[in-house]
Amino acid sequence: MRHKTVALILIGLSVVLACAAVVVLRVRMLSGGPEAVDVTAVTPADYAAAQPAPDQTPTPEPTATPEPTATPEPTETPWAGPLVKEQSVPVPAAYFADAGFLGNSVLSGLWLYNNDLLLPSDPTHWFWQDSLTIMGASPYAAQMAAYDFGKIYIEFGINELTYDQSTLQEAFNTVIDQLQADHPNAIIYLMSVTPVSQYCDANLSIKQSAVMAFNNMLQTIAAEQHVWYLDVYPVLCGPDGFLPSDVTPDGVHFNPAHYQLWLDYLTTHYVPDGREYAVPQTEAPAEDAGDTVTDAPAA
Amino acid sequence: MKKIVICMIVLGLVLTLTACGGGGSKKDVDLDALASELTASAAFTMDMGQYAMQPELAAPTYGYDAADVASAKFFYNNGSAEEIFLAQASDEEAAARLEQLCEDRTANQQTVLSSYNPDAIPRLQNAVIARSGVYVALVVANDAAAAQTVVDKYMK
Repeated sequence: MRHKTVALILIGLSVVLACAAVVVLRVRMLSGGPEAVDVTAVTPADYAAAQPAPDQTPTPEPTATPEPTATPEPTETPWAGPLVKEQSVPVPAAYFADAGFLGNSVLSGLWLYNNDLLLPSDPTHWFWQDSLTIMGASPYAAQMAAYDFGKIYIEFGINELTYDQSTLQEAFNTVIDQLQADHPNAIIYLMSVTPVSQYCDANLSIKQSAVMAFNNMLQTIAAEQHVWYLDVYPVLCGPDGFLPSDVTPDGVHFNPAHYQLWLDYLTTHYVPDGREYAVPQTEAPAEDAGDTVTDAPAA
Repeated sequence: MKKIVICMIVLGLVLTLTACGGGGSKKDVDLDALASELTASAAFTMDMGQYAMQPELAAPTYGYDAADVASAKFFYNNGSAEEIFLAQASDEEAAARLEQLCEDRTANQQTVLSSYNPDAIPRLQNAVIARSGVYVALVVANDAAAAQTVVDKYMK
């Protein structure tokens, strides 16, 4: 009798121990580690977080998303320059109403031949001189300080193609620094040197290769100074890559019709200034003339 | 009696000669016609008609007071330095000032362009500058003689 009792006790004890062992084993399987986890609190996220790493400690937080280590500045958008891209909507004359222009005789054609008055005709917007170079531009830039320009267009290069790059870069940086200080909110454009004719390239000292090298330098300066670069050069080239001979009297300057290409380029290559402008419409047929809307005054 | 008649005839002749000489013609000059004939002439290296500019650009280009000019026509080829400036001044004194400004401009252009546009220098040196009453003309052309002929036709 006594033996039976002892046997029964032993058997019962074994059963209990076996059950306990099963429970412990199951818990270990779920936790994956040596440390015990409250099984009832385990969620799929915890499971994912608890996946094998021998030294990994179980995550007490209900969410396992790792905390970001650095938050990037949300307000600063990367600068998209220096090359001014073509815009889908051209701007009217009103965009240029607060523009100032600094440069040489090539630039002057934009003023002289601006017969549709896309650009301001008032000479107080124009600071140019025949044969002016960037090295001599500071006094003219200083005069511009008297005006509140929202955009400044700069055209130099044809008169200084033979100068060394370090001198040129220093001169451009000086003038740009000056303009940025006087017009801190202005959009500053460096315009490319314009092409020369094949005759000029072959027979005179002004070489197309020098023009192209100068333009490469201008892009570098624009990038370093965070100003914009207007690549007008290809627009003015003929099929042979030179300034067409029938538009130029001297291989450098060109006629009003060719300047119109430059003017048109300015209307489609611009940096938005935050203002809204009426969309320029193309000329309507005569019978619909009443619907034409433009900001440009009549020529 | 005879002496009196002779004196009167001589006086009349003297007065007629005085009226005809010096001071310039008082006739009106058709600036549009003069501009058309000049631009159509062979005096220039390129068709000057395409280089017509807004007249209000002439004042800052020449440095005159806008009040001195009643009307103007202005053509300028900034590559060849050829130009046509025709103006009707507000009065003869203003016309004299305009004429002087035209002289100053051609001299200044020679200085500026001598370094990089040598072809322009002879054109500027032979510039046609004319004044007739209140009318002033400046023509810088490749063929100065041809330009002079046209100007004389209207202003002499």
